[in-house]
Amino acid sequence: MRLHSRRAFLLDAALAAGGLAALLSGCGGSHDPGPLTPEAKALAGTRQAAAEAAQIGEAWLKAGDNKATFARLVKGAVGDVPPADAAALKALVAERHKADLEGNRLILVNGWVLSSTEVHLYGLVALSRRQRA
Amino acid sequence: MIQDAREVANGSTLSADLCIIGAGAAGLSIARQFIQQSNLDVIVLESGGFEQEPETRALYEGESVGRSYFKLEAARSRYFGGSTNCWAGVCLPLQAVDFEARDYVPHSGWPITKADLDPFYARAQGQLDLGTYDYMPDHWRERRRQPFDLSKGPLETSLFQMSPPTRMGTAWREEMKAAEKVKILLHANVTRLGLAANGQALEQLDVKALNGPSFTVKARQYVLATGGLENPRLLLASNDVAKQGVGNDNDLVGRYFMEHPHTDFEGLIVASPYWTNWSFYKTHRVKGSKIWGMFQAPDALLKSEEILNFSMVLFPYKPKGKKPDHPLTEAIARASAETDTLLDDSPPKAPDAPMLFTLGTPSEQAPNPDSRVKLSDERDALGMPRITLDWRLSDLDKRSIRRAHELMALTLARAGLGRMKVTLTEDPKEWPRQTHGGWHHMGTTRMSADPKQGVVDAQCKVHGLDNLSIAGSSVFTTGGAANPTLTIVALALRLADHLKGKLS
Repeated sequence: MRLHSRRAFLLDAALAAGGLAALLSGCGGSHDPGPLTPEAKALAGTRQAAAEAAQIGEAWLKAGDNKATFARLVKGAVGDVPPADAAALKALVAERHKADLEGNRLILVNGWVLSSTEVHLYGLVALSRRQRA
Repeated sequence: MIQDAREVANGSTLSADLCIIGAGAAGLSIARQFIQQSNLDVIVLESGGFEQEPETRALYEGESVGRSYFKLEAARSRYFGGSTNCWAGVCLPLQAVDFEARDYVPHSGWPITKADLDPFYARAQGQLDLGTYDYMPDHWRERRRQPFDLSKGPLETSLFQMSPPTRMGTAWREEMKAAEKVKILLHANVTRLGLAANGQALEQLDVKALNGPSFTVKARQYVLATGGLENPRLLLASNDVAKQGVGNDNDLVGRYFMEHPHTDFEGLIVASPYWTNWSFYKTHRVKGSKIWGMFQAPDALLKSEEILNFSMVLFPYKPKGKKPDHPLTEAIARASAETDTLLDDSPPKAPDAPMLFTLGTPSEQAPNPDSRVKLSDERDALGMPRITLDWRLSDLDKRSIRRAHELMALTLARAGLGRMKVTLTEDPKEWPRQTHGGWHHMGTTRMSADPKQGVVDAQCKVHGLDNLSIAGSSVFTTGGAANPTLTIVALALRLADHLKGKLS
C-alpha cells in the first residue's frame, strides 16, 4: 500500500493556515471569468448530472476568492491540452481523478472530501451555467 | 469454594499463599489458573455478592471534575465477575505499534512487546469464548460476506471478535465453587494495604464487610485487581506507612488515566453504486464465532501520519427528515456516482435515494499525567476516601481523530465506494458534545521499566515492593484502540504463570 505524508494531504496545510482560499485561487464570483472556450463548453457538457455538479461547483466557488476563469478551471480539471471528443474527455477526467486520489490532491467543499479534478470540473459547470444565465 | 465474608470471625486472620483483591476479569482469570495448583492456597476477596447490591454499588460513587464522564458507580460493576457483568464483549488485541515508544506520543512505550503477549492473547481467546486467535479479514471472509477491496489504501479492513459476552461471575461460578484450593470470599472489602515498616513488602490486608466483621488476610503474594479506578484508590488511601500511598514514591499512582474517546455519529458517507454489500461490517456469525468488520490504519501509516490509533465502525445514517440534513448530500451522491462510473460500460444503477452511513470511532488517548484519579475529601460507608476523576483530552487526541476521518474519506474515494463529509472540526480543543468514553479505565498504575516512569514493572510487580502485583487495565502504558478486556485477560494469564513459578 502506498503511504503518504501528512503534509501531502493538502487539506491540512492549507486549512490550518486559514487558507481554503489558498487552495481555491483562481475560483470565485463576480469578476470576468474570461471567454467560454470550446474546450470549457465541451468539458462542462460531459456531465449528465449537470445540476448537481453545478450545485457543488457553486458551493466551492463561493467559498473561494474572485479569480476563477474558464481557462484555469479547464486546466485544473483536464490539463493544458484537453482532447476534443467527449469520450476522451471523460476518460481523462477519470484518469486524473484517480491520480488525484493516489497523490492526495484533495479539496474540501463544505466538509466533503473530493478530488481536485472533480471539484474543478464542478466549478466549470457552475461557471458556465452562471454565464448562460 | 465460595464463602461469605460476613461469616468470618471478627478480628480473625486468614492466611494464604496468594491473595487476589477483586473478582473481575483480571482477578478471576488469575484465580482460575490456580484451581489445579494443589500445593497453593489462594484467597480471592470480592466486595460484592452474586448480584448487584445498592449499598455495595454506592462504594463506587465519586465525583468527576474534568471532561464530562459517566457516573462512576455506573461505569463498572462491583460484584462477583466485576465488569464482565456489564461489558459488551467486543475484543481486539493491541497492535504492535501500541507497545512501541513513538516519539510523537509522549510517555508511550511499554517494556514488553506484542510478541511477548501473543501466546497469552491466544489463551485469552478461550477464556472469553472467542474463536481462533486470528484478526485478519482473510480468515473470516465468506463468499457472501466479503470485506471491501481496500488495496489502494490507506486504511484497511480489520475486525473485532465478539465474546458472547462471557460473564465470568456466572460462567465460572460452579467451577469456583468446586475449587478446593481457591477460596472466594464475597462481601470482603479491602480497606488498607498494610505495608511493612521497611516499606518493601505488604504484610497484611485489612478487610471489612459492610455492616459485618473486620478481619485480616496475610499472604506470601498479593495481586491488586480492582479495576483502573479502584486500584489507584486503594494504593493512595493506604498511606499510613508510605505517606504518598503504596507504590507512589514517584507521584505516578492515579496519573495517566486514559479512556477510549468515542466520537459516535461523526462523518457522513454517501455510498457509490459500487457499494453493494457491506454485511462484513455488521456483526455476524462465521465459523462459529461472531465478528464485526471495521477499519483501521496499518502501523506504518499511524507512524508516518504521527497520529494515535483508532478503529472505525459503520452505522447506517438516517436523516431526521425526509431529505438528507447535510447540504449537498444528494448532489454529491449523484455527481460522484457519475465520476466513479465514467469508464464503466454498464455501470450499476445508483439508488434513487442516497445510501448514507456514519462512523463510530473509538480512539486511542495519549498518556497524559494531568488526566488522573485523585482521592477526594468525601468518604464512603467503609470510611474510605472516595475518588475524584479528572479526565482530560489533548490536542493530539483530537487531531488524530479528525485525521482518521480524512483518511477514511480518502480510502472510500480511492476504492470507488463513495464520498465522505468530514464533520469533525479542525480546532484541536473542540470536541463533539456527545464525545464519551467506553467504561475503559486505563493507565493509572502504568507499566514501565524505569520506576520513575511507572508504577509496575514488566511482570506487573509494583516497583520497589517484593510481593504486590497489579492486574487489569490500570497497568496499560498506552491504550491503543482495542477494547481492553482481551488484553486484561492476556496480561492476567501471563501474571498467573509468573506467580506460579514464583510461589512454587
